[in-house]
Amino acid sequence: MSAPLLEVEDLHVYFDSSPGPVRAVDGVSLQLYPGQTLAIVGESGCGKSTLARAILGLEIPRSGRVLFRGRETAYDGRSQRALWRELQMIFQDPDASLNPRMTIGSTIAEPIALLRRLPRPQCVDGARKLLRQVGIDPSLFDRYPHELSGGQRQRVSIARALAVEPRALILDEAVSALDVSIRAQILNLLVSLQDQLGLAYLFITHDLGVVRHLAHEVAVMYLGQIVEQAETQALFTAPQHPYARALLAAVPSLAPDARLATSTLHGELPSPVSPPAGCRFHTRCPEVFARCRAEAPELFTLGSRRARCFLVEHAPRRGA
Amino acid sequence: MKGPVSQTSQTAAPPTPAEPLLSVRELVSEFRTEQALVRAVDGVSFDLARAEVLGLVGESGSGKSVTALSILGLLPRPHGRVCSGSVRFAGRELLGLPERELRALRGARIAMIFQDPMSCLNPYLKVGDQLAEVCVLHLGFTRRRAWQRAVELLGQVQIPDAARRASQYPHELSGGMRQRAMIAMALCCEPALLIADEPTTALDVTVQAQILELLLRLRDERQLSLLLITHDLGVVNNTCDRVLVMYAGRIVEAAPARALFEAPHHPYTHALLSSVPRADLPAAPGAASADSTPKKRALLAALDGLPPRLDLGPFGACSFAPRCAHAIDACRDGEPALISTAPGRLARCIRPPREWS
Repeated sequence: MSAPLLEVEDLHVYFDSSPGPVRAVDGVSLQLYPGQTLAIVGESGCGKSTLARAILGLEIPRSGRVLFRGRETAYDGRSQRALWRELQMIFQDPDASLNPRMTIGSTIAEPIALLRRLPRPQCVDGARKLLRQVGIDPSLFDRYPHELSGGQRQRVSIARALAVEPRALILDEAVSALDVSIRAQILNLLVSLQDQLGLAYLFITHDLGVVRHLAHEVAVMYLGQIVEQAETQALFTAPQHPYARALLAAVPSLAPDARLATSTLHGELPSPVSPPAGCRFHTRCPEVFARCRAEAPELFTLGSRRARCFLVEHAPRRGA
Repeated sequence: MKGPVSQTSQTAAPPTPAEPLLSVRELVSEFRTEQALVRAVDGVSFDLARAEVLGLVGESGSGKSVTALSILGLLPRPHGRVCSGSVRFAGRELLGLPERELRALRGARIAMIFQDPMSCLNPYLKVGDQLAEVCVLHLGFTRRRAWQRAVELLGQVQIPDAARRASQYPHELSGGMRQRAMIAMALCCEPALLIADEPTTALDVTVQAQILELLLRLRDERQLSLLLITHDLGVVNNTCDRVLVMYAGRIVEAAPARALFEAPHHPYTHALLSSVPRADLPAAPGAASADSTPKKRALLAALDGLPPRLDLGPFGACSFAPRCAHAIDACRDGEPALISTAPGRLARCIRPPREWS
């Protein structure tokens, strides 16, 4: 495999709060390779969006490094612009990220002008080409966002992100607000664009169906840490970490004989201000034992996968 | 025109001889906008039996929430109104009932919960006080007795340490706990019918599983009837006895849940099911795989286009025909009726399922 496009090394992002720092991201390392999709999954408050923002330089980490094509991200305007030339972001709500007073054509032409410094007519041509590429009729160039449907608006955000010809996209819940049939259209668009352009995606979502369809590799986060990382099929067929198992079991299935998975997890998510001592998952883990309460497990490597659990430290792989 | 209409039309009735708890017939609701009149619900009929869990699924704008609001007499006035039809609850016609009588029913016999618990919890009041207030108003309890009842209810929806939680404000509770508190409030007066509009959509999957489990337990223990409105087909499959699928203001398919997920009888339901990426099945051959990375990857069977604009109706044709892979000329000649396709099953399609599935 080629060199990683994006490397995150032992990243810590803390937020100040009155009872103590919120440890939103607490020691995350990962790599994203060209043309690949790495999904970050986890529930609200696990730190997945903060991780994305820190990678983009929108949050300043307490410690750790982010490298894009081997260059370490610095937190000044100039190096951020250089980074965003190659790494773009798409959010859940296109209404919040599209300017309602700008036509969709100029919304897409603007980044071409700013970051690629091309003359105006070329920017307009480029914007038309991009609209066609994301499946929007270029005759809608002079329309405003409110004149489009939600799915079309998300296509416009994708076109705008592609305008600077990035190598990678960070997609934070980019299809979560869309209806089932529209979501399928956008997912198909993302797959085709990746195939055509060789883009890498860092795909942040809570939707495990989307992950299984789209991702090559998956990292599962819990309370600011990666608890399991594996190739997609391996994770879905034989999750190693008890949290990953509970998460997968809780997804309602479309199989005609499926019943509600009962009691996958009890209790509440502990506060990231004072995460539990020992293993962070031990307060809710159905397989907890004494050592888990005293000692924090590292992310053990098992072949091509990693899991943060004492049960996998020496054990042969379950079900694999 | 208000009042009951004759029950000659086909309805999505369950195969039980007992009188249904809720019986909706030919419900039509409209919204007036500045530009047009939008028929959001167009001739919806169904029955809900006691202790039945009925799923109402559809995408945004399909009319599922408007159907629920119409049943409760909660359409926003003056823009929205129920034009015609009948809603019978425990043998009593609700449409045309004076607001005072409706209000006595809502909260007491029929309760509703929503996606966002903060839309019904007052941020300035302790959770226990909000529950107690319902008991004082509807049941005539004393404050002291009402507070005890509030703590009891919070315990019944499995909020740990209920006495302490009752003295907290909504913001001190997690999302899942707020949802439980809202369910507790809905249960104060032991309603016979609970209408739940996207009750778990904003929740994480593990919390969603807990809340759905709670709702099913309440059905079992209290014979509660549940109308579950959602866009999540997995949730429907895992919880509902029967399902109604809505499209463009109409029911297009009605079936027992298991039968529907085994073999949908309407092309829209079929398309909807095939466009969901599955967490429980390997992605189709050629899909993402780290070691082989094939050139062509599997795509989802996505529906092209968008649902019709309801302000441009009526269409005089099948409203799904423009997006339907199986449409024939006859589909554009008139609006199809909801017809029986199998025992206990209805579909609004002129083509029998065996011709296209």
